[in-house]
Amino acid sequence: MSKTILELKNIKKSFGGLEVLKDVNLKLEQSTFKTIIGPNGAGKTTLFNLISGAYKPTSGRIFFNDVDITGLKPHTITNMGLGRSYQMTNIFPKLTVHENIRIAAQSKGTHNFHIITNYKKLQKYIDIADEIIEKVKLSGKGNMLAVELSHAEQRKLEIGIQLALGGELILLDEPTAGISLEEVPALIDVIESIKNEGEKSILMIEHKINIIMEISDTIAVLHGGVIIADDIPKKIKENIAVQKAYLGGGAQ
Amino acid sequence: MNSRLMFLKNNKNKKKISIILLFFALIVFPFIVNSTYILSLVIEMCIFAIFALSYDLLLGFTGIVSFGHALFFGLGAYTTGILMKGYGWAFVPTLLPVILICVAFGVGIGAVTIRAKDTYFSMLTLAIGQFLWVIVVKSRVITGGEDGYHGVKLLFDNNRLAIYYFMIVVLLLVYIFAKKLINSPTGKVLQAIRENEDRAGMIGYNVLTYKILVILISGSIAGIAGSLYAVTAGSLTPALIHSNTTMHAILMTVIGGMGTLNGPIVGAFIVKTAEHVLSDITQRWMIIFGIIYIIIVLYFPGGITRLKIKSNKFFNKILRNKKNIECFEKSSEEA
Repeated sequence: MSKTILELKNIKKSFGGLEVLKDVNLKLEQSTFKTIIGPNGAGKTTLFNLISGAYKPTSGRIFFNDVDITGLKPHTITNMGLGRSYQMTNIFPKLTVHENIRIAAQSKGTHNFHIITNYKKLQKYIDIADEIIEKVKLSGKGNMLAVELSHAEQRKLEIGIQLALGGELILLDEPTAGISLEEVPALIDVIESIKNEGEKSILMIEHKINIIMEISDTIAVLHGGVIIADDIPKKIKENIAVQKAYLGGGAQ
Repeated sequence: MNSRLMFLKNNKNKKKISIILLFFALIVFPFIVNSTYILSLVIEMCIFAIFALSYDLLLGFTGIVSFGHALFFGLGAYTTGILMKGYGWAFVPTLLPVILICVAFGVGIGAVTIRAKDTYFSMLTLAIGQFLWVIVVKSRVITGGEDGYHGVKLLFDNNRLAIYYFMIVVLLLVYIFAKKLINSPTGKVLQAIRENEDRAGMIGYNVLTYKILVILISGSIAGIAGSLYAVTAGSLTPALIHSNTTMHAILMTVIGGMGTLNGPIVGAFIVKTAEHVLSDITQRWMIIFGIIYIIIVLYFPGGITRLKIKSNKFFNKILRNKKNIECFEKSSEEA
């Protein structure tokens, strides 16, 4: 059995009187791809906010690589190797595509406070950026400003920024949200190729069920503040509790 | 194609040639105009160009809008002035305390204000700048108050030609430093902060540290500009610290072009020239400038230097198209 990279233990989160997450237990094995699905308002994004450190859980603990990261600051968690993409595109609009990725790669290095050295002399980061541009299939667009890219390309760029940070675990929050149907396959290609490299563990929130069934190793279903099922895609399809959650809980 | 023509069309060579020409022009300039008045004007331009350049590091490259930048200029001017007249220091040694004081103020002000965002930050810097202005006005014993601080020994015994060359060299050094800074890893982080502060934080940069760093660097440069002002003007007034001086820097930076480094220099030359020309015609010359400012912000937000760059791109496009057509014709002939 491979190592567990992320583990949530009895996570509770309430906002005032509203209990969004009641008791979430979740395990992600290293180098696997898990998707979290669930009806709207199930608390998927809240869960991501807890993992990435934007919120603190009301109770429960989060372990990343067996280290307790509950309540740590977001940038500390990022620096530990847990990167996150957002539902809204979040890039550096008027920097070039290449620079967007290069600056992320640079943040991991030791040259951030060199104020006289020309950045072009630090070939390391430029190489990383070149490599990642290939990986996220933005070749030939390196010199374009990020703002000139299409929405789908910007999502790819964002994944590129994640990769440049070199984290082991990537959280993808609805990567295909707001992208035209024709562009979805290209984006999924990128995600799939990262998955196939086998170096990263990926935790994704997504709604497009066909895609999820195809690329996920496991699927977790979040409903009513708890994980009601966590299994391989085929079993999830057959799971009665999941069908109830999606088709309406009235069918007793 | 003719090789000489090719040489001229190569962009790098073009740049080299124009830089050499500019230098030549700057060297012979004093002998052509041969007027102390115009030389003094150019010297003042250089000082304000340095000041505006330092402001561009904040506004154009980090996206910080400070209304209190003149306080560094004033600090530099008064520190040099008081040390030279009151304590008999020579000019160059005063630059060290000037930089130290500006760094200290930069860190202090940065630490206090930088957590405030956007407009709130700007308002705080305005308040602090004006506060220092009041202190300078009120502490008559040290600064001479509203009457000003007079009799600072002038540089090179007021030999305007020597000062002129000196200023050009200092401006050049500051420009090279700023250019190096913006192309350094740190400078790149600053630009990322300008583009998306939150995201820069998320990818692991401590935004506050970088902002304080740029405030103290640009503050020190502004302080040096102030020192230079002290030893070329000889008298200092509290107006140097007043937010009006900051407004001048904003005007120069925006008119010339934010985030270009050349822009603030061009802007300083334009604003200062216009100031001298227009103030001969009317005392209300600022009104004219207000109108120009509004037009530029509305229609050419990139500033004057970007206009030039754009037209250059346009010509390059034409040239490239021509080249492409030639290449195409050639290849089709070969085929």
